This record gives sequence, C-alpha cells and structure tokens, in this order.
Amino acid sequence: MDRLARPARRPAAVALAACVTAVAAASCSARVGAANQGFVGAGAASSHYYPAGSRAIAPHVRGRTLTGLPFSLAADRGSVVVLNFWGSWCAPCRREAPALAALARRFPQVRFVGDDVHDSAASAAAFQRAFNVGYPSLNDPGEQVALAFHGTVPPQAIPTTLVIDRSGRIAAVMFGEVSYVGLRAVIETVLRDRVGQAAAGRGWHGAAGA
Amino acid sequence: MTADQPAPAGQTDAQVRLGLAGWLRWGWRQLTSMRTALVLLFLLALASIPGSLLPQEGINPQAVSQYYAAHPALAPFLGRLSAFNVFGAPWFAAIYLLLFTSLAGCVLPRAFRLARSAGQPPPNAPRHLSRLPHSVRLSTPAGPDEALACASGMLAARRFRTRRGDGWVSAEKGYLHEVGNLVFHIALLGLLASVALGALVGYKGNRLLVAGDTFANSPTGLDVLRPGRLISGGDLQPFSITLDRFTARYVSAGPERGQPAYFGAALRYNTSPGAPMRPYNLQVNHPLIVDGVRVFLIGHGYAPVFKVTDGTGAVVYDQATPFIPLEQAGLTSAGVVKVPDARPEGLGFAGVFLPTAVGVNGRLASAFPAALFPRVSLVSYAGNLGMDGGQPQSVYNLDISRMHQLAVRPVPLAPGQSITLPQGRGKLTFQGYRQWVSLAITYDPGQFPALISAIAALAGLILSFAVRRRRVFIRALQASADDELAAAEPAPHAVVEVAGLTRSDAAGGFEEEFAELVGQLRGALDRVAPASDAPVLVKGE
Amino acid sequence: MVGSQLANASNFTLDLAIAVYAVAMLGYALDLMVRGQARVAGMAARGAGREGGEPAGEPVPAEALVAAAAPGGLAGPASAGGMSPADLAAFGAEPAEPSELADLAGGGTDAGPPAGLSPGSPDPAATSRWPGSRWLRRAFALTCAGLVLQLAAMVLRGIAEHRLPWGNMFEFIVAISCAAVLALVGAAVRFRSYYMGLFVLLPVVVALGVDVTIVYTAAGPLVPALQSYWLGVHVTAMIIAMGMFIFGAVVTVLYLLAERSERRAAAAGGAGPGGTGGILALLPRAQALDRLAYRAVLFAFPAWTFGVIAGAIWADHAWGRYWGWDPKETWSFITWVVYASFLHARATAGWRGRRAAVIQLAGFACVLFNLVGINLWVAGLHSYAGLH
Repeated sequence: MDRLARPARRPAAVALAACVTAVAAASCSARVGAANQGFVGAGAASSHYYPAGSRAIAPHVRGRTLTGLPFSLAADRGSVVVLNFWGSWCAPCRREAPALAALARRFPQVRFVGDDVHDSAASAAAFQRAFNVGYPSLNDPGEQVALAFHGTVPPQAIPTTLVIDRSGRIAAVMFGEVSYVGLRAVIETVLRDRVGQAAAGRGWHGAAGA
Repeated sequence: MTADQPAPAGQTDAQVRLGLAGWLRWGWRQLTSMRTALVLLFLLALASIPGSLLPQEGINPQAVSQYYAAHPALAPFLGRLSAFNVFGAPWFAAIYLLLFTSLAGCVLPRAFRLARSAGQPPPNAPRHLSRLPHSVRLSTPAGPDEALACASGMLAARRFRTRRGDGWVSAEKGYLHEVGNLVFHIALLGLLASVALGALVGYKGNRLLVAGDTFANSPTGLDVLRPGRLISGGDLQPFSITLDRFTARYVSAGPERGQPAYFGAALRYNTSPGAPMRPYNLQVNHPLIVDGVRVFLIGHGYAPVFKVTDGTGAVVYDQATPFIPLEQAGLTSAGVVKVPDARPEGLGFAGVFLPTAVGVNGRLASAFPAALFPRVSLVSYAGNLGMDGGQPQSVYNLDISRMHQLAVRPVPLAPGQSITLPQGRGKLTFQGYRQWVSLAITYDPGQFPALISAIAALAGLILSFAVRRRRVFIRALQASADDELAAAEPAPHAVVEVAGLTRSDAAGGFEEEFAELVGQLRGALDRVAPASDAPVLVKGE
Repeated sequence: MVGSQLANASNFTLDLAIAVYAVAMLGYALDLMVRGQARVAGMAARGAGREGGEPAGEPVPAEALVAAAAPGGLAGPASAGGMSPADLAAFGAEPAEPSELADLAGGGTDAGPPAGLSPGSPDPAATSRWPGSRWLRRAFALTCAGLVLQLAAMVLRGIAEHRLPWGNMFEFIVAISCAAVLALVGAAVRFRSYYMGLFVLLPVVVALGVDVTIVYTAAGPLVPALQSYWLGVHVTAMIIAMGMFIFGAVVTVLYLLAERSERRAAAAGGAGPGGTGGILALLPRAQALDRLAYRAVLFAFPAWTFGVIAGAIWADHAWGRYWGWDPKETWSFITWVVYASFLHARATAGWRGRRAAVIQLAGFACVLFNLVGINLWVAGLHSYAGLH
C-alpha cells in the first residue's frame, strides 16, 4: 500500500542510475578493432579543424628520414607543415599518395613530411619511387613520433594527416584517406591564417571552418 | 490494486493523473515481482544460447565472415538481428537491464526493511504453541519463573536474541540469512557496475611484435584495438615495448617431444616517450603490468627475413615477415610477401615456413617446433596486388585475382638461398628468420571490483543457504491438577512448552537443532531443580 | 613419463569399481523386492480397517503416534512392512515447513496450523544414521566400496600422468560419475536418503560403461599451456557441482513420477487399497523427494558459482580477460541462470513443485550440453582464436 509506494521511488532512482550506466555500456561493442583483425588501413574517415585560438602545440618531432638524414619539426617553425602518417603496406595510404604528392608540388611553401610506420626502409623507398613522392618521410617503425602526439591530437588510424600552422600548433587533422580537394582546402585555409597577428589590421578574421 | 482513493467526481484531471501514477506503480510492482524475475531469467538464458552457437564478432571475426560466405541468404538477416554480436545487442541489454532493475527494486526495499527490523525485539510468543510445527511439552519441578529464567539464559548463551514476557520467552536468531541474501543480490549489482566500468573506460588490444622491433601503445601501434565506449586514442597509456629476444625451449626427447617447456620474451619497456627503458622477462601467465595496463604473452611464431630485388636491381623489400602457425606440433607456418612497388610489375609470394623441415612421403612437413632445419617454400606471383584501390587488406592474405603465377618451382629454400624470378623480374633471397610474439594488451579498471563483487556474491549466497531464520518460544505455566502431565509425577511445579518455527529453512536441519535445544533445556532444568526418581516426561505432538 | 603399469592398475581398479557398483545395484534391487513383498503382505494383513490403506512411507497419523508414544519416540505400526523406526522416520516424518509467506505477527495472535502438518519431530535418539534394512545396508556398503575403488583409480591415473586426472573426456566422465556417487553417499549420510542408491547408480554405471569402452583414452600428458593450479581449482569445483546436479536430477525425476502418481491417486479418490503403487510406494512421498532435490541444488549452486568465478580468474590470468562469452563460458552462465531461476521458482507461489522440478531438469540439460555438446561439437568451430 502507501508504505510500499514511498520506498519505491528510492530504488527507482537507484535503478535509473544503474540503467544509465549500463545503457552506455550495453551499446559498447567491438568497434573498428574487430574489423581490423589482420586488416590494415581501416579507419573512420573524419576530419577536424581547430580555430585559431584553440590549437594545441605540436610536440617536438624529430628523427631520421628514410635516407638517414636528421629531421626536426622545430626547424620548420614559420611555415605550414603537413605531417602524413603512412605505410607502404597500407592500401588507403596508397590511394591518397598521388594526391599528397601533387599537393606537395603545388604548395612549395608548405613543408610536407611523412612519418612511415611499421615499415622497412626498402619498401618505403620503393613506395616513394612508385608514387613520385618528392618530400621526405621519417623512418618511424616503432611509432614513436605518433606516440609523441599522444597528449594532443593522436593519430587514430593509418593514414592520418595533420596540418600544423606557422606557429607550430595543430590546425587540422584528417583521419583516414584524404582527397586532393579536401586537403587543398584545408591547406589554403591554414595558409591564410595569421595567427598571433591582429586579424582586423589584415582584413581577415581568422580561418573559416573546413 | 493500489490504495488510491477515487477522485471526487468533478476533478477529472486529478483522476487521470492518479490513474497514470497508479499504472506506473502497478507496473513497478509487476516488474519487481518474483514472477517477472523468473521470466527475465528464462529470457536471459534463452537469449544467451545463440551467442554460443553462432560465431561472434568479438571472438572470431573470421568465423563470422565464413558464416556469411556459407549462408549468403540467412547471414545478413541474422546480422540485422545482431545475432553475430548477441552480447552487445540492444535486446540482450534490455533483458539484463530489466532484470537488474527488477532486482534492485526488490532488494533495496528489503534491505531497508531488514535494517529497520533488525533493531526490533522478537515478537510476543503466540498463545497456542502446540500449533507450531515443532513443539514439545516438558514438566519440571522448578517453578515457572525459574524455568523461564533458565530457558532464557540458555537461549541467550546460544546467541538468540531473547525477550521476556509475562509467562513466556521469545527468542529469534538467524538474521544473517537475509543479510546473506541481500549481500548476494547487491553484489550482483556491483558486478554489473564493474563490468560496465570496464566496458566504458577499459580497452583491449593485440599486437604481433617481431624480435628487434618496438611498438607504442597507441591506435596506430596496435594491430587490433577494442576500446571502451568512452576511450579515444589519446586515453591509451603511452608506453612502448621493444622485443629484444624471444626464447622458446621444447622437450627434445621422450613421449612429450615437441611440447613447449619454456617461453620467455625479453622485453624492454618505458612508460612514456623518451623515458628510460626497463627490462622485463615476459612469460606465459606472467603479464607485464605497466601503468595499470597488463601485457600478456599469448602466442609466438617465426618471421622469415626476405630481401627482394626488383627488375631494376633496386632493393624493394627487406624485412622480417611474420608467418602464422598452422599447427602447434611442428609450427608449420604460412604467410605472404607483398611487394607492390616492384618494377616492372608488383610481386607477391605465398608459402610456408618449416622450422624443422623433413620430407614425409614426398611432402614437406615440420617435425619439431624449434628452428633446427629451417626451410621456406614460396609460390611466386606478379601483377597487381590490388592495394592501390584503397580497400584494406589483410597482411596475411595475398589477393591473386589480378596476378599471374610465375614459372618458378617453389623449391624449399635454406637460409641464404634465393629464387631468381623469370623474365628478369628480380630475385627473392631468404636471409634467415626472426621470431615474433603475440601480445594481448588489456586495461580493465573494473576487473578488481568485479572480483570483489563476485566473491561477495558467493559469500552472501553461502551465508543465506547455511543460515536459517528461526524463532523459539517458551511458555511456562504452573502445572494444573487436570493436566495429564501433572498426573505422571508427584507435584510438578511447572509445565514448560517449547515451540520452534523456522522461516526459509533452506538447508533443513532445524528439527535437529530444535531437538538439541530441547535436550539442553531439559538438562538445564534438571540442574536447576533436580527431579525425583521419576523421569521428566517429554510429550511430543 | 607415463607409468604404464600404474595406468593399467588404474584401469583395472576402475573396472572393479564398476563391477562393485553393479553388485550394489543388485543389493538395492533386492532390498526393494523384499520391502515390496513385506508391504504387500502387510497391507493384506491390515485389510480395509486401516484408514486409506496407506502404504509404508506415508506419514503415520498423529493419533497412532500418540497412542504408541513411549519414551524413546516412535514405534510405528508393527506391520509397517518390516521397516525399522529409523527408516520410517527418514521417509515421511520430517515436518513440513510453513509456507515462507506465513509469518508470526506479534501481539498474541496465534499462528494458524501450517498446511500439511505432519506428525511432530521424532525423537532423534530413535533414528540412527544408518539404514535399518539388511539389504540396504549391504548395498550401501558396496556403494562406498565402489566409491573408494573409483577414487583409487583416479589417483593411480593421476600419479601415472603426473597431473590431475581431468584432462580429456574419458577422465571427465570418470571424475563426474565419481562425484555423483560421492553426492549419493553424502546425501545418504546427511539426509538418510539411502533409497536413492539404485536410481543414481544406474546412470553412473551406464556412463562408466560407455566411457571405458567407447570414450576410453590412454593415459597421457596435458598441454602445458593449460597447466596451472587455477585449472585444478576450477575443474574440481565444476566436477563436484556436476556430481550434485546429477544427483538432484535423478531425485527430480523420481519426484515427478511420485508426484504424478500421488496426483492420480488423489484424483481417483485416494481410498483404494493400492494408493501409490509399484516402486514408488517404497519411496518417500513426493514432498520429501522434492525437498531432497532442492537440497542438492542448494549445495551444488554455490559450488558451480565458485567454479565459474575460479574459471574467470584463471581465464584472466592466462588470456587477459575474465569473461569473453566463449561458448563454454556462455553455457556455464546459462546453466547458472537456469538454476538461479529454479531457486527463484521455489520461492514463488504457484511455481513450487512440478514447475520448479521441470526447471531443474532444464538446468541439468544445460549441464549435459555444456559437458558433451560444447566439448564435442561447438568447440570444433574454433571459437577461441588465440592469435589475432
């Protein structure tokens, strides 16, 4: 009777809380990983553009290129950098390679750098030759460069492309295969950025969303 | 059904509102009834059955793909019903959520009731003790008060909670039964919460690591990542592991020849990029624990090292290629080599690696899992590997639909030997082998709470089964002349009635306890007021 | 190194155990025959004067008890088929508990007479632990001897293999049937259910017979990857639980038969001299069987729960996850849920008795499927990949 009705609300609230927790858990299941057993290169294609005031500082990226030369990202402060994580074994990387190579030729003022993961120097060199890639790539078989981005914008899959602005901050990220048109738009937007300078004086109000 | 009073005639709105609340209350009472719990338990069991008979994506995705291939009409239909992911399906979740809601709605009020009633004294003794299922009448020379005091003391010594009244003693024991029952059910709720915690913020990953290589615990570094719902790439603990050397020892003689005797992976690891590396010897069943994440050694195999030179003389492939064991006795392993950027055409090789190659009836087999006599035998292909279309491919499968086999016999190669490809396409050299380990990386913060909940549930279960709630009542009256018992013994002073009642006598055995109580009471009464020669008459009913 | 002599000795001991069980079964059968004859003779002697022609094993009416009361408790009607007071006490004299919904209100109100009141507690001094009937005693002794032999066989095999002898189907069946006989003996001593001997030994002997002939596997080593003390803990718990589940299932089958025949007897007016006939007449009434089956589950269910938990701990040790919905794990879960619903049914009005018994049999079917179906059939689908 009434004596039972009152206590019914308390456990109802508790149960509701349990429901909410469990509902979230219930819809959890194997995500991209399950499809990735033995498969490589799959990833949800998505991109994010970070407006000028909310960009994370890119970590200090350094290493050796595939040809053995030392490389440091800090040395490129002052120019826009496109950092592409790839591997010669990765099918979507192969599909986007022509676009990246062409964009590198189109925007000589932009520094294109690759980060070759889980790969051997010989296969990577053959890849670069096959796709006429003119820009250097870091030799990163242990994914240490990708790990350096752990605290900022970590690559979620291979391929991932990061666009870093002139002041060394991460302006955009694209997970998955990029298209020529899409990446070009992002590069142009970031090029127009005048980060740190008064936007009013230059007639620009920062970058539009990509 | 409810205690709602009908609203006055003019207030139709109030009537509707009350009706709704009344319906909800009715619904809640139905949900928390035992019958609903029964139905939901049945449904839970039934719903789990397809999860065990059909291949499940979370366990064996390849089997799911095979099922789709084998049942092209039925499989998509089943897939829409989440039959290949039963335990993550929304309908399965609905069943256990309702069950746990019903459980919580039933158990929590009972817990409050128990807390309230635990402080209350035992009830008054009923008038007619003879109607209880266990009852006995004794006579004793002691007086009624003396007898009651004796009984009360005896019961208190047996840790009953007693209450004296006018001519009666009421005693109760066994609250632990209900406590155990509630602990069990609440622990189940805790178990659900722990599982949910792990599913939200935990993750599992796999990585195959060749000796000499390093990997970073990140979405790009793991071969397979199964993240919890709230986990994104940046949440993974950023440790790195280098495999220096893998050592496997096998039994070399006797009937157990070939059985593994020891597996050890000499690792170095650090907890964040740039931190110093620490060594660890990883063995089966002895995981590495780094930053709360556990890394298990779950498999191993061989990765033959190949160098491929293409038609132009350039080295286009030079790495250790993991081959996957087909069987455990000799570790015969299969794998592929993909060289998509060879010139003039892409090259592909598929074959087997035999750690201890022997010829058996004209066929090659591996007689022992250690690499005593390693040989590799490959079939060569040239053409388009199909990787440029952007569709992800397994690194262990070679798609030869757009390739043609080269006219080179797949002779077994010893380390150092080569296959020279026809038409000047180049050369593949088998340079040797390295070993690889398969690591399982798991992070489940809900694991320890789940263990505690499970143990608490078991303890509560045993407690509720072992303890029975019982009440014992004793009445003592001055013996009256017309009592049957009075006739049997000269001048008894009191007639004592003892009765017992048990609630939820799950384990049985109360009658023995009752008989023991009666015997003990008899003894105590005898000591208080030693009888004359005539024995105390016990009359059972 | 497998000691082949020890393995042969183990096989011989096992065969001996089976033979002893078979003889024990004969003993139980003889006991039933003797008691059946005595009962028929007793009923003929009593004629129609006795109310209801109740066969031995029915509760003796209260008046008869009081009339015959003497210090020392029940004597029982002398013509009760040659049964000793101990057997009589075991069979029907356990008092029924009041329904769980009844509770004593305070304040001087009386408790109504609980339903199904049976004569009060027997004086415990009169009922001994051991069966009174001669053939029953012998059969039980043989059962215990067979159990010792079977345990010895397992020990010998374990020594021969240098491992716990629970590594393949043959050894599982030996261990589980041993656990079933252990449950039989334990229940007999604890609950005085000696009459179950024949009915439990029957499937045990059949299973062992099939096991040693068709399923037999020579003694050999176990894959070292599975060697872990958690395996011993986990498998031991499951085997003990399964033995008790087997016992409970056999009792449940008897209960259903007894309950059906009691129902028919009641429907037919209940006053006929036959009452419940045949072997069932020599067994306790249905309610006692029901309670025995319930007690079996009360013991087995926590053991099964413990086994599942131990298995999860072991799985976490070995594979890094404590639950993966692997078919074996899933069916252990299903079995647990079905037996949990049995326990709930026992506490739900309208679901006690026959419906609960059916649920228990469903649970036992899950146990069988988990043991046989998963090992032989589903496991062939390689549901556990191991590697990625």
